[in-house]
Order: sequence, then structure tokens, then C-alpha cells
Amino acid sequence: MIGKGGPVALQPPQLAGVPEYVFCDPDRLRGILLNLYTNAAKFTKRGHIVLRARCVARDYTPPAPAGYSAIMLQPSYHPSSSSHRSMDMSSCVVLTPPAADQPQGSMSRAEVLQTAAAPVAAAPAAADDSDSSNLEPPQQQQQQQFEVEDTGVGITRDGLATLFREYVQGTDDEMCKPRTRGGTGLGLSICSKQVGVLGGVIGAHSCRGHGSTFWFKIPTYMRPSRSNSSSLGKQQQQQQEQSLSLDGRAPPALDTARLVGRRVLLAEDNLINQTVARKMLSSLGMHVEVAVNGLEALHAVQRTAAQQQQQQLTPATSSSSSTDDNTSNNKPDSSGAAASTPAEQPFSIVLMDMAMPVMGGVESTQQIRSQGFNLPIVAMTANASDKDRDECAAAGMNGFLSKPVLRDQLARALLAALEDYDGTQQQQQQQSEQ
Amino acid sequence: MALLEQQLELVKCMQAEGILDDQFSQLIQLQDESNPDFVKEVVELYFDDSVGKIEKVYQLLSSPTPDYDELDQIVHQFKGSSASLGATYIAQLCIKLREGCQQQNAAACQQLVLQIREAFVQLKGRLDVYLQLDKQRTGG
Repeated sequence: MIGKGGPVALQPPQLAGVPEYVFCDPDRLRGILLNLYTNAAKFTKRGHIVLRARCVARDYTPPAPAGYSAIMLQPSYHPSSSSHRSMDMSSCVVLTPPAADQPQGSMSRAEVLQTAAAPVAAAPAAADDSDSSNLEPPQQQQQQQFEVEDTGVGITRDGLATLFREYVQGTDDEMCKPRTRGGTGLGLSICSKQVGVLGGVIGAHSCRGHGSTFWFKIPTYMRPSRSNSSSLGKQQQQQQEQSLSLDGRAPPALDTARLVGRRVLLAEDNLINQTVARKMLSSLGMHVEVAVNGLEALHAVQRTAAQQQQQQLTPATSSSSSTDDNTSNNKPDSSGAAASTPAEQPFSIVLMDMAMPVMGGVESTQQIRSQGFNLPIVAMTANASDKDRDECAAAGMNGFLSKPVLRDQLARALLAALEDYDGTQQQQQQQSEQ
Repeated sequence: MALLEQQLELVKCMQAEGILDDQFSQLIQLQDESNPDFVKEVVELYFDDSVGKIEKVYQLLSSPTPDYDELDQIVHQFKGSSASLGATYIAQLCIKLREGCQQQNAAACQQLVLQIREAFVQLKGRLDVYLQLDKQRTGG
């Protein structure tokens, strides 16, 4: 049993000297570490498992203790090439694409759903083009090394040689008894691929009967200095604060009470994205209306503004529910006085996908702004380059979210955009009252 | 092991293997009493949608002169829905496939579509297990 009171102590991570925040790919990093921990737990009956992380020089390689065998790989994420350096035995991870065994032409649904006959060595995933491009340019690169050390059964020299290959099945000599005979399966192979995508190096050293240390080294980037205080800038700060904190501290809790009862227009054509986003927004207490393209979004904004003006012209027939929305100004504005039902409330904010049929997000925003509607509009998009951000800002958008969006990120972006907007509205109201 | 633990263990393994990412955990957290089948709903929507998209991509690539613009749009959509589900490996392959479309590299595209298909079959198999466990747990 691992952990408190068990024969295997899960020691606290040793993070001495690592920076408080760095930029990298937290999902991949988390996946690699979880995999290494899981492997260590599988093959350790007594003693300890510990994670160490530290900054190292670019060309640093952890030395193996005397009597230990070692292996090191520098996985490449281009399927056409592979590179490795082996300190012990050659163990090149060559990721070969599957044989072209499928006939050309259309596939029936049954063929698509047919289970593969044999395991296929999939090409490594490309570097994600959306994760890092919404960050400011990094100031400094650092190599971070992570080691998971265990006092498990250890691995023989021969075993190390094939360690990072898929479906390595452990022999009785190499893997412990009486646990399952399953070897490392896909886990370490995937780790090496993920390290390759991160531009790093992975390795291990081990001694039969003494234990193993699995390590990897990846480039990370230091956190840039804080910049402007615009909504887009604030949102960037908030997203930066969600970058992996190596000491495990969680970002500050969100106060989403300001979102409860607000009405949001979600402009998104993809049904799955709609379903997920709608659920996230509902879970934040917001009322959601969906538009499937930019033109529908424009019409929805126009419609609610017209309803708003109509209500202002006719006496209220029932008590209005209070909202945080500001009273209307001279411009036709969708964030006017409160209405009695969610469907009659003006939109507090628009979440706008960029790539939609009929009319895209940028054009829709331009139209909305040109007609004088100044409610906050936040872009939600898979395209997260600087060029896209600039285009969104130029069109009049107030915020920018890269898909896939986590709930907290969504809430932060909405709060930031609304804070700016509500503040501006209050100022205008005060000025008009003076 | 309790059924819920089995489900969570399955998800953790898939996340460790890079097949799923945190987004799937988000979907699980979003499921509540008001929508107790939310994860099932999204997963089944995704399966249905993906099969159609993979079929369409094969169709387009079978042409002697594939319409790479249309192909790119479909793959962009597929990438988006994969990312929304948390199917990160498929999303990554879609990124590569989009690059192939932009380069109009038919061979690379065909290779990647094969990989996407394999990855989808693997994902579906594992998520079918997840849904089975969910059905047993909820008695649905």
C-alpha cells in the first residue's frame, strides 16, 4: 500500500530552487508525472517514491549511481525522423506510421467503428498550436528536470533497452511478483512522445533490486512581467496565473456571484461546443441563448435592444427582477433596465466563436459595434495567434479565450469583461447625472 | 473497486496516456442532478458527429483532386469538438491534418486520417466502457 501508514512512503515533492511559476504545457506535464508515479507505484513494494524538480543546465544529464544501468532518449515529434542518444544500449523510439492497409474511397460507418485488428504505433502528436500562442513572448528559457525515484524492484539492463517502447511485457525476472504480469504497456511510450512534443529528453537509471529513477528534462519559460490593465491584459494576467505552479498552489478562488442571473448570448455553430459551453454557463448561474452564426447573433442583439426600448416606452406591468445591469444610455444598448423574465432581459455579454458559417465572429462584432451596441463581446476560438487577437481587438471585442475553455477560465474572462464594462457604464451614468 | 472509482481510474489512465485531458474531467464535474446524463450526452454526440466527419474526410481524400478547403473546415470542426470533449490526442492529430491540408499533401493527409481513425476507435472503446460503468452505477 502506498502512502500514510503503508509500506511505501509517498514523500512530498522536493522542489527546492524551482521558480514559483513557469510557462509550459501543464496538461502534458501532469500526464507524464502521473504516468511515472503510477509506474513507480506499480513496481514498488516497500521504501519510498519521491518526485524531485529543479532547474538544470541545458546539457545536464543526471548521472546514474555506480552499478546502475541507464538509458536516455531525445524523442523527436516528427514521424520522419528520430534521434536518440543511448548511454547504455541502443533503444531508439522510432515511431512508424501504420501500414496503409485501408482501401481508398469512402468508408462505411461500420468500417469506421471497426476495432483495429492490431495495435498501431501512432505518430506522436504535433506541438499544440493553440496553447502557448495566447501568451506574451517568454523572457527566458530554463530547463526543468523532473525525477521520480522509487525503491522498487528495479529493471535489468536488457529491460531498460526496450523500456520506452509500446506494449513491453514484463518477464518474471524483470517485473515484480505477485502483481499483474503486465508490463509498462503504453504509458512510458506515451511519456516519451509527450516529452518529445515538449522538446525534452527522457531517461531512466535503475538497478535490479534497488529501484529506479525515471527522469525527464524539458524547456520551460519564465513568467513575463505584468503589462496593461485593459480587459484583454487583465485576462492575460488571469490566464498566466493559471499556468502550472510548481509548488502546487491553486489560483485564488473565483467569486462568480456577479454572473448569476445575467444573460449571455453564445454564438457557436458546433453542437458539441455549444452543449459544453452552455452547461458551463448554466453552472455559473447564467441564462444562455444560442446563436449558430454571427448573423443570428447580430439579430439577437438587435431584437433584445428593440424589446428593451419597447419596455422603456411602456409602463412596467410587473415588478422587475433586479440585475447588475446598468440603465440604458443614449446609444441602443442591450444592457439596459431589467426585465421580468430571463428571456426579456438584455444580454449582459456575448461569447463569440470566430469561425462560423454565414457570418463569422469578427464580422458579426463589427456589425454589432457599428450599430452602436457596446455590450462586452468575448471571443472564443481555437485560433489563438497574436494576429487573431489583434483582429479581435480591432473589431471591438473586449476579451479573448482560447478553446478548449475550462470553466474557471471562462468565468474569469466573463468577470473581467463585465468589470470593465460595468465600471465604464457607472462612470457614464454619474457624468450624465451631474 | 466501487464503480465510480473504476470510472475515475479509467479516466485517470486515459489522461496519463495522453488520450484525454483535463477537459473531460470538467465534463464530469459539470454533471449534476439537473443534468445527470450530461457526460453521456456529450460523449454520444461526439461519437455520432465524429463518425460522420471521418467518413466525409475519407470521401474528400478519395477524390483525385481533393477539396482541401472543405477538408480543412471539417477537420477544424473536428478538432474543436475533440478539444471540447477532452479528446486531446485526436485534437492534436487534427492540427497535423490541417497542416497537411494547407500544404495540400495528400499522402500525409491520408496517413493522418488513418491515425485519427485508429485513435477514435481506441477512444470510443474506452469511453464505451466508461459509459457502461456509468449505466451500471446509476442503474440507467
